[in-house]
This record gives sequence, C-alpha cells and structure tokens, in this order.
Amino acid sequence: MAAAQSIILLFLVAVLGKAEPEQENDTLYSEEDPTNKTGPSEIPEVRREQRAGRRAGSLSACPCDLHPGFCDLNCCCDSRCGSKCSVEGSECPFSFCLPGSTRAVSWMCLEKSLIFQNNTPYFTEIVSDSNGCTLLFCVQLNNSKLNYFQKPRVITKENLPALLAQYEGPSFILPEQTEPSPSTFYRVGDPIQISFAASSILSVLKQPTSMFASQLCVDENPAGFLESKSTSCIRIFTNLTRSCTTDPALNAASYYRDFSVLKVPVNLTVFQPLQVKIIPVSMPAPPRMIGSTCYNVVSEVVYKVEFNGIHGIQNVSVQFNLANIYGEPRSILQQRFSLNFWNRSPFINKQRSGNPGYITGAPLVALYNDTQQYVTVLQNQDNGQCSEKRYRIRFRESMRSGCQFNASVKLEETNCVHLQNSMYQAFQGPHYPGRLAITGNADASNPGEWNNIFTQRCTMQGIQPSVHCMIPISLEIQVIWAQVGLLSNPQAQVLGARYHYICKLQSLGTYINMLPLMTTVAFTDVTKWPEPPRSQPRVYWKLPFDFFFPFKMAFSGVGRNSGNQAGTLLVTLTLCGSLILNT
Amino acid sequence: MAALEGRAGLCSLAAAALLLLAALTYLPPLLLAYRSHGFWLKRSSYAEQPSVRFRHEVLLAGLTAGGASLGWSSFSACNRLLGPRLRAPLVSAREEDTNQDGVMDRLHFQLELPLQSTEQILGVQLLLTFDYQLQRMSTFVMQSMAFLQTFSPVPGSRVFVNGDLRLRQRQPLGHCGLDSRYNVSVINGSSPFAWDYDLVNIVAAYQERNVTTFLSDSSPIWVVGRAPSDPFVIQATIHYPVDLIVYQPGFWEMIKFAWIQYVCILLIFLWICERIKTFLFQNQVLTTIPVLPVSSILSHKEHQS
Repeated sequence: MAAAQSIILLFLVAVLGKAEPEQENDTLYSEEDPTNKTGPSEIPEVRREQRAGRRAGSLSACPCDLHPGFCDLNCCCDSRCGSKCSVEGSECPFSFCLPGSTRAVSWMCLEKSLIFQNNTPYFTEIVSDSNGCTLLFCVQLNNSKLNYFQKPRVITKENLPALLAQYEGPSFILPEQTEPSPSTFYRVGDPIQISFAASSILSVLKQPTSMFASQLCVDENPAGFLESKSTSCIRIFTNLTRSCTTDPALNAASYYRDFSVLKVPVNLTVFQPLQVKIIPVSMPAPPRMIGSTCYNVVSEVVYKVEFNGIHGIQNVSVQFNLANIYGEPRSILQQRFSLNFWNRSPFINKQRSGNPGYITGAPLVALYNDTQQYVTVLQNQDNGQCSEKRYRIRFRESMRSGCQFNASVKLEETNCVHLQNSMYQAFQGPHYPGRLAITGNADASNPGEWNNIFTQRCTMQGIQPSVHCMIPISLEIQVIWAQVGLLSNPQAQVLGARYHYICKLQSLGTYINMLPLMTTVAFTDVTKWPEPPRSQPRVYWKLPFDFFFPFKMAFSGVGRNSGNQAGTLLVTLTLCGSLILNT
Repeated sequence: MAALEGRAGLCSLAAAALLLLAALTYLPPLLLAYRSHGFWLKRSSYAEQPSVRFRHEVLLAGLTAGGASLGWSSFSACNRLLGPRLRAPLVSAREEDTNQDGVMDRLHFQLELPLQSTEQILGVQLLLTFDYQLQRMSTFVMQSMAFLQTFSPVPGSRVFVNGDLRLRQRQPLGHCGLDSRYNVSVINGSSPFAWDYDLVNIVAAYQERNVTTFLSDSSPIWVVGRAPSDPFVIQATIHYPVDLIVYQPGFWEMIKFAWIQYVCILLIFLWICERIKTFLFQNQVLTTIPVLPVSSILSHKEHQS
C-alpha cells in the first residue's frame, strides 16, 4: 500500500516537474555526473565531450572563477580561495556565494507529510524549505534528456547562410534594399533629376525643409514630382560677414544656375535625356555685405514647373524674393521654398472650398463687389496692434482673435461718427463680405448660390449724441450650417450668417488711446437627421436590438469564424426546442 | 406526490393554466437577467506577455544648445538627408529572456553620441520600433514604437531611461483569427523625403492606430556635467511586461455567461412554479380527475408534474 502510494507520488513529482521551471533557473551546472550514476548510457554527455574535448571537465567548471591564479570574490567554487570555501564551510570569509559557484542540484520537492514511506531506488533527501517552516521530500532529477541542451549543429561554410536565414532575428545589419526599376517617365512623388552642366553629375532637385523637431533647414530633401508643396525653414548665421557672400543658400544663382532639369528620368533606354534649363523670372542680384547688413539674400524660392503627362517636364521657371538680414553675432533667416506644378493653365487662380458642400477647414467664401473673397477676421501684429493682414475663417472652426486699435483721439461729438466708421471698417476688413457662399463651389455669376449676411450694428436709440458715443468693441460672427443631401454622401451648406456688433458707451470728452477689439466666430450645426436607424436598411427589431448582441456579432462576421453562424443557429434551435419540450 | 396525479382534457382549463404557468416560469427570468444589465458579456480581458522583438530601427535627434540639432537613424536615406547634422553614434542592443520561457523580457539599449567639446546636448528624442505579437486569443501582429523625449535646462552627459513597453487599446481585440492591420512599418525607411522622417508626421500617423504601444513610467534621469572628450550616452532598459488585453468575447463565451445568469434566476422561478402547481392540484382549484397511484402506471398521462 505504502509502496503504491510512493510510486503514485513519484509519478506526480515527474508530472509537476514541468510546472516549476524557475527552480532550475539558477542551476547553471548540474551536480549529477552521469558517468558516476547507475543510469543508462548518457548519450548527451558523451557528445559534449566529443564536441569540445578541451572542455571535457566542464561539469567541474567554476563559472565565476574569472581571474586565473587569483581568488574571485564570493566565488565559492574557486580553488584559489581555499578548500574551506569550496565546500561552503563555516570558515569561509565570503558573505554569500555567487549563483553558480555552489553545486546546484535539480530537485523536485513535495511536502514531507505527504510521503509515508520511500522505497524508490532514486536519490532522495529531506530538506527544509526556504523559510524553514516545512520539511520537503526531494527527489533528484536524473533525466539525461531534460538536463542538457541539445547538441547544436556543426557549422560549415555551406550551411551557415541557411542557418542564419532560419534563426536570424532583427539586428543592426541593414536589410537589402531593392532599387525601384527605372521608369521612362516621372511618376507622382518621384525625385526630379537634375544634371550639372560642368561635370554632368546627376543629382536631384532639392527643396530644403525642416526636420526632426527643429526648424533648421535640411538641404538634401528632394522635391517630389507633381507634389506642389511649400516648405519653410530657418538658417542661423554666426558669422554673417563671411556667410553673406560665401553661403550658396543665400545666393539666388545657386538655385538655378549651373544645372538643368532632366525632362524624363535617366533609365535603361535613355541615358542622355533632354535637359530643361531653369529660367529665372527676373535676374536677382548676388548678396552683398554693406556695413553690418547683408543685402539681396534669398528669402523665398518659387519653382514653377510645367509638365505634360508622361512626356515629362517641359518648362521650369524660378522666382525669388530677396530680403536683407543683419545682426551680429547671430542672425536668423527664414526661407520659403515652393514648387508649383501646372499643366495647361499656368496659374491656379481659384480654389474651391468644397464641391459642392464645404470641406471642414476650408476657408469661408464671400462675395464682395461681384468678386470672390474669403471671409476674414482681425489679426494682430507683433506689438498687439491691429494688422493690415487678416486671418481667414475656416469652415467649422470656432475662432477668437483680437487686437489693439490705435485710436488716439479725444472723443467729441464731431468725430464720434468717424471713429465708429473706422472701427466698423477695422472689423470688416477691406473687403466687406456682402453675401456668403452657400456651398464651397458657389459661382459668383449665379446670385442663387449666395446668402445674405445679416449685419446688426449698434442702435443709437435712446442715446444722447451730445453726451455719449457708441463704440463697437466686439464682433460676433455666427454662421449657421447644415448637412444636406444623401446620408452616405453628406454635403455641408451654409444656411446663413450674422455679423453682430457689441458696443460700449463712451462719454464724450474722454481721451481714447488704445481700444481692444475682439472678433469671435461660431458655427452652429442645425442638421436635421432622418429617423433612426440611419445606416443601411435592416430588419426592424421589436425587442431592443442589444438583446441579440451575440447573434448580431456572430452574423456580422466580427469573429471571422464560419463555425459561429452554425453555432448560432444550433443554439437558437436548442433554446426553442427546449422551451417547446418543457411546455 | 401521488395526490398530484390527475387527468384532464388537452383543451381543458388545467392544460391552459399549465401552459401559462410554464411561460411565466421560463420567460421572466430571461427578461429579468437582461434588464438588470450585463447579460451579454461584451468586453473581457486576459493577461498575456507579448512576444516583443526590437526591430533595431532607431531615430535619434539630439537638440544642442543654440537651436541646432544632431541626428542619426538606422535608415540610410534619412542619414543622407541629415547631411552635416549627421553624427553616427555607437549603438548596442541586447534582448534578454530572464525566465527562459521563450519570450523576451527586456531590452538593454545603449547609444553613445560623439560630441565636440563645445557642443552641449539639451534634449533628446529617441524612437525605437518593435515587432509586437499576442497570441493567446487572437493572433495580433503589429509593428509598434516607443518614443522617448526628454529635455533638461542644463546640458547633460548621460540620460538613463527605465520603463515598460505597454499596450494602449482604443478598441478591443478579437477573440480569434489573425489581426495584422497594424503590421506595417512605423517609419517608411525607403523614402527619400524628409517628410517621412519628421517626428510630427510619424507620431501623427502612429496615433491614428487603434492599438499602439508606448513607453510608460520611463522617468528619464539626466546626468549633467560632461567631460569634453566624453560622448553623450543614452542608456535605456525597456521591459516587456505582462499586459492586460481587452478583447471582444466570442459567441460561446457570451452565451455561457448569459446562461449562468439565466439559470440562476430560473431556479427560483421553477421552485415557485412547483409550489403553485402543488397548490392548484392538491386543492382542486382546477378540475382534474384524480388517479390512483397504482393505476397511474398503466394509464396514459397527458400531463405529469
């Protein structure tokens, strides 16, 4: 009975052994020496010794003995530290033994109280556990297959690439990059090739830009074919006197002279494609240093490229904006680079804000004297005063902007009206929007496509013009819009807008210097949605739709498992069947 | 029990009452279980240690005093763009499987950026990419990244980072199948354009994903004071911990949990129904013909309770 029990327990030990891999982790070297034991022939050990004859005694090795001839600290198996330590004697000076420096043995342990009698031939020991509360009955593992790594393959010149291909993980070794096959024409996004006349070196047209969270110019960025893009970046000069005349980035000539654009890219069939000269619209002067100012520095470069489908680039012109910079020892220049591609009409003079409905973020279009304008609001300068420039209102974006209006008058009855008018003028801008485009593609010649803007100025009723003056200080632009058309293809429409001024009473006789003005823009959505369900037509469920959630999920293919649908049917039938049978 | 046995016609009042009673027994528990919320298990979670491998793709930007920057990446096209700002560092990476379960547990990453004695690093931006895989429920494969950004007002010599690579989900994963939606590279390493290496664009595109990884609890430690000949060193240890993954349970799992709830309430109703039936037939509230227990074995029964 007891024997049977212990055999069962040993079987349990063998089964449980796999569930405790941690116990073996620190076992760098196993104590058991297969040659000394009575087990069957230990094949792995024989192989180990054959493979590395030099390390034949690896089982008796000491992994922490790293300094030959010296005693390694806390290395209890180091023979140089004396025999006391090698058996972990009490006279050893070390505070602890490094893992691996004592003979670690693979044990599988059970609580001792579970074992009645031990009659197994295997080596067993009774030890107390780490906190010393319980006694453990331990069996030493003697599994030649589990205790050793499998023998790795022998590497030859032939199987090395195959092994690498099989086991290689990611590393810093660069993967081989396949070069795209050369095309006979430029595709969208292809770098535009250029050729230097003097050396006939091939390169690509550059469009400097900022990179890596820094605004500093990266000169090597190529320009992409048909990607009309504008980039800007800054350059910092610490020695302007020298850089002014020597830095090619400041010299307009370096952006067009000495090289020409290739009409089509170099490929297998065309080695010498036609070259297209870059023509400057006006000949810019080279940079010149006078005093501490550098004149004629390039601040903007605009390339205009005419293309013709697969026939490539026909014509390239370049236009410059020059600026003067100064400042020692550090001067900063912002440069702008634009590439505009055009096919037949040379300039894109008009851009729609949507077709037909407004695109979110597109500028709001208004009509001023029968010409199309954008609706704008106040913009401030660097000193906070109202600027000539104005911000555009973008569709569906709430805005608030303000600036200081420089009035500098003593308020009198005579100049009150004039001040009012000039402030209304400041709010409205130079182009007062009379009518607002209902859709993004409104045609100026069709009055049906434009809505009136309701302007609500401050009323002068009940105010004595001899005592007070009404000054507009704030403008609220309220735009009402809605989605119209098909649910699957909604189009945003502006239904109407209001300019609502808020005024302040100012006593006459006071001196006005600066007046803070403010404009706010609000978009209100009044879309009338159809009755739900709004998406695709489906069976109308009388019960709450959520009640059939799993069935819905299963049928909508979220699980991507065809078995689910069969399962659903089965369960439905079973449920129905059981209900019928029970009644 | 014997007293319960009786006879009644198929269309009798007793049969109708039994039918009604059965309906009142089986249906209300269903409605009760459903109306008290949580009937269908819609979200569930499990813990799994993801199988993560460092892809050895690195993007580094070091911001130096004076507004300039130095950079390096493991992409040759990006290095070409950097031109004079390129500074090739010494990079070393090692992944460790401490518990030998076949899944990597942490990454040791070290980067030594050589600097001139006059250059000073005030901030670093480091982007590392990983292969991330989950397989306990659905096989989820993606290429993800860890982004580290740290600045100091005082020029530094070293920065230590020790954090976890955690999963961020905006959407539950599936319970089965292969999900390789996001098994696309974080950085388009073959592109020659600076646009594709701009951190703003990389992060914006990455955050569009519903499932991402991020570096959590990294709290970088800056060490200031650099010897003129020393490089700037970034030492990072990134752990790959067990993560809690939210998933959408499968059909059978939902049914199982719903069934448990239903049956629990049903048991009470069955007991009540039993008592009502006993009362009805014992007291002959409904007209049935009582049958003796002995003859009941032989006789055909329409209903048995």
